[in-house]
Amino acid sequence: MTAQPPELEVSDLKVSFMARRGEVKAVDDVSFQVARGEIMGLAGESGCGKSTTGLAVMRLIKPPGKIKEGKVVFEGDTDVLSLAEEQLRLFRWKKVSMVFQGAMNSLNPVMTVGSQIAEAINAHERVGDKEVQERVARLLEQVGIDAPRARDYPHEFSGGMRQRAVIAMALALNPDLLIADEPTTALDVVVQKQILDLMIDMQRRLGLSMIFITHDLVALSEFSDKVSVMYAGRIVEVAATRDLYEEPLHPYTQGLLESLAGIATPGKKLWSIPGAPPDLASIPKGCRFRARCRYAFDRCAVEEPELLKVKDGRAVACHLVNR
Amino acid sequence: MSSFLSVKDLFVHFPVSRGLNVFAKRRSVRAVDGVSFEVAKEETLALVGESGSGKTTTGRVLARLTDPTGGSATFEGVDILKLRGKDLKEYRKKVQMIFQDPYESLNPRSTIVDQVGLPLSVFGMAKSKSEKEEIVLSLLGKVGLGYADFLYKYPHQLSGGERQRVSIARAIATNPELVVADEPVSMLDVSVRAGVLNLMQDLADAYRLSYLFITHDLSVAKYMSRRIAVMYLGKIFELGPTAEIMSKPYHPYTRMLLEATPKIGPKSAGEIAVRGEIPSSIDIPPGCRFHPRCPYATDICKSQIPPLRDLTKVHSVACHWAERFV
Repeated sequence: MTAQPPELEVSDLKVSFMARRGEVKAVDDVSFQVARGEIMGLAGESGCGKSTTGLAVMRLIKPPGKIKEGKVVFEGDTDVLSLAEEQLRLFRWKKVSMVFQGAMNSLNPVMTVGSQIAEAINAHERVGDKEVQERVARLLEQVGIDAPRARDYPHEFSGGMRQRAVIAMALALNPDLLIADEPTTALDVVVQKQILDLMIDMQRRLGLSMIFITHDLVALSEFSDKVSVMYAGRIVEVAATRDLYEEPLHPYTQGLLESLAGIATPGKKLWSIPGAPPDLASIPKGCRFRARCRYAFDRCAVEEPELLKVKDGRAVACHLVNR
Repeated sequence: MSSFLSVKDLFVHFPVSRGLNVFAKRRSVRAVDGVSFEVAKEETLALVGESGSGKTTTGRVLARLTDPTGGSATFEGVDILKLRGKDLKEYRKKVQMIFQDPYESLNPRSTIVDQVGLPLSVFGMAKSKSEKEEIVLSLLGKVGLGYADFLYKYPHQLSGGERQRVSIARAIATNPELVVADEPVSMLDVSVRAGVLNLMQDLADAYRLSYLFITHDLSVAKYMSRRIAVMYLGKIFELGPTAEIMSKPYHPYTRMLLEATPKIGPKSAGEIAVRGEIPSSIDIPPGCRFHPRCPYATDICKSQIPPLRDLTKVHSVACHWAERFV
């Protein structure tokens, strides 16, 4: 029996931004897979390249950014980076859709929520008004909003409801893969939990695959199937969620987990990784985490570690681990 | 015995415009609806709650940035709500504030040295430009940014974590005794929070500061504070020692907050599932304002407001059924 090809396979992706000070290598050779119905967390600090990766999958990188290299293959047969304009239009929102960072604050304030969701449907399909309204009502109910609220304006919705509305918009055309970029940042813990529960529910009911981009490793721990940790434009560790939290292998992942207040003991100091990520326009030779790594040795200064498989489902880019 | 900071029956109601309809009922946003608590010297009290709980408004009243509609607040025995002119200025030296948004709480058109140095100028703590630079550099050193090249940078050249450190430097410039910190790390990456929280702890130890630490994140409150006040729709629902409340919460809302707080590892005992959303402070439910979301609500809960009553000498709860839940 042949296995199904993965929902998404990204290989050797490189995205750079041409800035005055040089080429900023935001994404520098990133490869990963998302299996069907899987929730993959893409985690890292601000500036590590995770949002750019998500935008690249949707081919939403605009100048001065440019996808320099790589392949993005959807369901084994669609080569996203070489689609023609018209095919790309059929791909976006119908196969893969995205909830953008801060989307809940980008809703059009002078249009009702319902008409904005309808707009998403009408932009891609020729559907009669009545059917569109029915679909909007069903979508809102799917995300836990009473259908009559479609007539309200964004300012009449709470923050959590606006985020649900944006998720409803992303699901309007029944995509197979949803990319969510920091969907719960800036929301209170209670609302955050509700949104996460909603997304898990969607995954279960609709068989949705997801890429969940966030800096919040604690939120991911209760939510994703596997996690890819990014640092300075590269993936440094991939593991099933439980494995990552119980036994992080990469020193950066270890440092990150140690610095989370969620596991702090009162009275004991919180540890934080000293230093800061390198400037992506002048990436140092060797391992880019070396300057902040407590285990760095001579090989780390000379050779950039590759992301190598440690065992099934686990990979790490570290000379210490992959001796 | 005059306590350090004492707040009694504080009310802050904001009127809601009726627009052109003169017959519409007068409504208000009851942001703070009867709040009382105390903070001891060199103690950190966490004010915890969701958006709309009234915690920020409470903090702003204590920083004298918002006027209350009723109630009293005393600092070192002095009624701070009646302060004017010179006395108010003296108060501001002792009580400073740190804000949530590192991108909005610094003037984008002013250099770091001018912003951190502003309180020094206002309070006559620096006599010359070079003295100001010297003091600012030393303050920046205390927050981990002690490099001369930071002095003449602009906020946009700094990261979120760095900007928040600048805000902290500005707040301690006057040698305050109490700092109201409004969600100081909520907008920072989780990996950056540790550094800022550690800094705040170190400063509290070194300069014997008290914090009124406002946050919606229980795990941050747990790390930073010795006492917690849990707020909901303008009232305090539970008040007491952090360790006790986190391990054995009595109020159903506190238990719901605990359940919603992301954590690595097994769930702690006593959590209850999250239900519903916090309603608007304009339409507060009658009786116990949490009853629409409470799995244990009974008739008395729908009609009678439970008072904040003592369970022990140090732990109080506002719930008709608190003892039944443990």
